[in-house]
Amino acid sequence: MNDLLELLMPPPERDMPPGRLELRRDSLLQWVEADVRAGRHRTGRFALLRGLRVWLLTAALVLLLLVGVAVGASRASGASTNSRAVVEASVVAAAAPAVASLFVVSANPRPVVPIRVVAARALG
Amino acid sequence: MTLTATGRHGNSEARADMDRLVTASDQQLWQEALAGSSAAFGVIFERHAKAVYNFCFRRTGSWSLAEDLTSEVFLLAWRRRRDVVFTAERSSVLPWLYGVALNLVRNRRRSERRATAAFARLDAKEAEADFSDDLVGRLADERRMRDVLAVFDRLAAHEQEVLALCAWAELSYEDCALALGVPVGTVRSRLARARAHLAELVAGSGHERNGESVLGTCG
Repeated sequence: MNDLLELLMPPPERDMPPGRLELRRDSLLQWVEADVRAGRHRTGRFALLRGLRVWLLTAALVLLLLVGVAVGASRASGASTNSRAVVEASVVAAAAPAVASLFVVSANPRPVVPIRVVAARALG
Repeated sequence: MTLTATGRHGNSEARADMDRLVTASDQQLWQEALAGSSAAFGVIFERHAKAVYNFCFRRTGSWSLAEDLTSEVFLLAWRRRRDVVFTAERSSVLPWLYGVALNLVRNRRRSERRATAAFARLDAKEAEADFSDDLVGRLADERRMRDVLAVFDRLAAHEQEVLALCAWAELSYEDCALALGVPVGTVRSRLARARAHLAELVAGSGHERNGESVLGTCG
């Protein structure tokens, strides 16, 4: 194997040209620091959205539970058509937070930027 | 006086912190980088940039392209920082970085095949004037590497990758498996196939087994 690989022996290793390593490192670190700062910002915003989503879902579940109890009670007591309409309206009102929470779930706060675009911006 | 003392104290603290980073393992540095320390990531870059730079050169045959790819490897490594895999023995991140480099080189080749315009850009880059002292040596390196890659490119892509990692980057089978994301047995079998194909290529070319004859314009 070794004698075969000797045929494909590459040139010896070299350093980057003078000053290039430092330049590349500084550009990279600038980008990393900017990414860390942006990441913290994104994380904070994402936590806020997540909190809102949980709150809306909880509210929706509680309301649906209450409406379910109300519907069951009205059927058991043989309530009038008018009172049933009121109950149905309550169901719609209870469903609203659940629908809103779906929009919050679908909101993705992380920007999707291709690596080549990021690299071009960072390295000029 | 107090300010000077505080400044000196601050400087010595910074120096001690830098000394600690320089002696830390890759895994420790990576943990610090994950916690938001760009200095730790900078130390990782300084530690492995040369190896990645030379590996990229050996896969592309162009020093300027290798320099760009080195930056891209570390940018991509940062973006995928939570997917990192360290070697079991020395907690080194280098084999994983080689894996990232291989993917970048592979993607670049694919896009080059698709768009001939990319060739024009690369040629323009290679033609950029560079009056550094070692320019002549670097040009000779690129000529030699092109000859080597002309033989190398006749192997299957996965055989080239395993040879580049085991022979040129001198990784162990285990580290090579880590870089490629395949089992160690697969590395062994690919290496065996690569060796057989290489022997066929050498025999088929009808040349003697010495660098001058097989690689033609080498040296």
